[in-house]
Amino acid sequence: MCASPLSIFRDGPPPPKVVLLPAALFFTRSIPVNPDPGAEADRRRQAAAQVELALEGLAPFPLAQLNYGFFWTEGAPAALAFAAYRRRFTAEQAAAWEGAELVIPAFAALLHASVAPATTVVLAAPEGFTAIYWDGAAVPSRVVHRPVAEDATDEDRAAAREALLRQFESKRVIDVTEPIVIAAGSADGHFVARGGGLESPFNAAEAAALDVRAKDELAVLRRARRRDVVLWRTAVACIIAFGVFALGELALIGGGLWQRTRAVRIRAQAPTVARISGLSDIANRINDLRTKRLLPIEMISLVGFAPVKPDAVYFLQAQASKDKLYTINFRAQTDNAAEIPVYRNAIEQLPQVAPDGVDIQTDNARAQMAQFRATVTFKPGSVKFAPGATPPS
Amino acid sequence: MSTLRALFLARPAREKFLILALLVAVVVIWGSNLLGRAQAFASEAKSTSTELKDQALWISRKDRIEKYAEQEAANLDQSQTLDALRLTSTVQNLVQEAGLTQINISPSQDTSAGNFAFHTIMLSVQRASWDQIVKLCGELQDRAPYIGIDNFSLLASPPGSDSLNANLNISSVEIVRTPE
Repeated sequence: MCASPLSIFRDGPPPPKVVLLPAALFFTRSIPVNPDPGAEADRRRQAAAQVELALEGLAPFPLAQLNYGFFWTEGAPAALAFAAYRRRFTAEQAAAWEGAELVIPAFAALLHASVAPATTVVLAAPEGFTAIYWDGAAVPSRVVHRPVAEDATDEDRAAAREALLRQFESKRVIDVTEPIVIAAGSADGHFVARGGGLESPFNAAEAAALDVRAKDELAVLRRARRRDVVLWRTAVACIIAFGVFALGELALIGGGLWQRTRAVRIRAQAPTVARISGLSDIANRINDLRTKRLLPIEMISLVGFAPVKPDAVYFLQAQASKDKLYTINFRAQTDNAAEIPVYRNAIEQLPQVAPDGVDIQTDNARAQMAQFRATVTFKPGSVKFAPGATPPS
Repeated sequence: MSTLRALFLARPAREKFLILALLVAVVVIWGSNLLGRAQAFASEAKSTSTELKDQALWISRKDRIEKYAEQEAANLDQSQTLDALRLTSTVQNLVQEAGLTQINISPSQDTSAGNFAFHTIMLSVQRASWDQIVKLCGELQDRAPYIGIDNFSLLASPPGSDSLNANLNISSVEIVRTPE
C-alpha cells in the first residue's frame, strides 16, 4: 500500500543510504600525520598522501587491492587508518554498495564522537566486540576487534568483552549495543552517526576519507553527486520560478480588477469628455469661420491671369482646402514648355507669395507641350477678399 | 525542502533528468504564457492610463472651453446662424442668383455639442462660367462667419475650355439656443 504523500513530508527526509561493514574484516592503525600549514583542503590532501604512504608500507598488498579509508580531523597529530583486502568482500557485497552515499566499517561511524580522555567505546555485534579507544586526542588511537563464536553463551560474550577491555587503561567505558543510526547532516555531504548516547558528526571531507570504496570509483561518484547537486539547484530554481509565476498570476488578477475599475471610469466619463471635446471642436470651427476664410477665387486670380500667367499656359484644375488655408494647388498645360520657368519666376515675384512658396513639377512633356502641377503658398493674411476677381484666361 | 532534496537525490539519474525536464518545460510554457499576458496587460494598462490622462485633461479644461465657446458664440448673431435646412435653402438661392442651373447639393452632415451645431453640405456645379463661380463664392464669403467654404476644387471641362465644374464643401454654424 502506498504511503500518503503528506507522510513523506511529515516523516522528514529519508536517511542516507550508508553501508556499515563488519569490523572483523579490517585491520586498523594509528598513523602520525604532519601536513604543512596551508589551506584545509591542501592539508587534508597531504594527510591522505601520508596515510596512503604508511599503508603501502604496512599492508602486505598493494593499495589498489585494498579497500581503505582513514579518519583525521584538522589539527590531530595522527590519523586512524583502516583497510581490508578487497577479495574479502564478495561480489554480492560489493554490488550492494551501488547507490550508497557512504561505505564504511561499522566502528568508523563513531570515530568522531566527543568523549573524555581514556574512554573506550565498545560496539557489540553478533560476530564480536569492537573497542575504540581515545587516549586524549580527537582521533582514537586504537581500534581492536575481538570475535566471538556464533554459538557463544552470554558468559562467553561477557568474557570476551572483559578480555578486550583489559587491553586498554580505560577510565570510562561506553557500551553501544543498539544499531548505529546515521542521518544526513545540516550541510551537503555531512553525516551524523548516533549510538550509545554518543553523537559523531562528519563533514563532507571527513566522510569522503572514511569511505572504503575504490578511489577511482569514489571520484566518479563525487562527479555524479556534483551533477546531482546542479540538477537539484536547477529544480529549486524551477520551483522558485513557479513561486514567482504564481505571484505574477496574482498580480495579473489584481491588475485585471484594477483595470476593470479604470475602464468603468473611462466609460462613465466618456459622454462628458465627448461633449467637451465636441464643444472645443465647434468653438474652434466658429473661430475659423470668423478669422480664417478660405479665399480660393482670390488666390486663383492672383496667379491665373496676365501679366503673371503667360498666354500659352492653360489651367486644367485648381484646388484649395481649409487645412492649408494659404495654399492653392493647380494643374495646367502649355504648348511652350519654355514658359514654365518664366511663369514660376513671375509667381515668385508676387509680394503675396511666401519665400520658397512655389513648387512646380512637370508631369508630362512632349516636344513643346507640357503638363505641370503647381503648389503656391501665400503669406498669411496677404490675400484679401476681393469681390469680382479677374477671371483667368 | 530538505525532504524534497533527499527524495530528489535518491532518485536514479534518468528519473532526475526526467523530473528536471518536466519542471523546465512547465517553467518555459507557463513563463512564456505569463509573459505574453503580462505584456498584453501592460499595453492595455498603458493605453487606459493615456486615455484617462487625456480625459482628465479635457475635464480640467471644461470651464475654459465652455467660456471660449461662449465668447465665440457672443461674436455671432443667433438669428443669422443657419440650421441644415436654412443652409441648403440659402445655398440654393445663391446658386440661382449666380445663374447656375446644373447643380447638386448633398444632404447635410451635422455635428453638435452643447448649444452649437455645425452643418456641412457639398455643392457640385457643372458647366459654369468663371464669372458665375466668382459670383457664387463672393456671395458665400459675404455671409461669413455664418457660412464658410471648407474645400474648393475647380475643373475645366473639357480641358482648356471656359466651361467649369466646381465642388465646394460649405459649412454653417448654428446656435441651437442662447447660452445662459
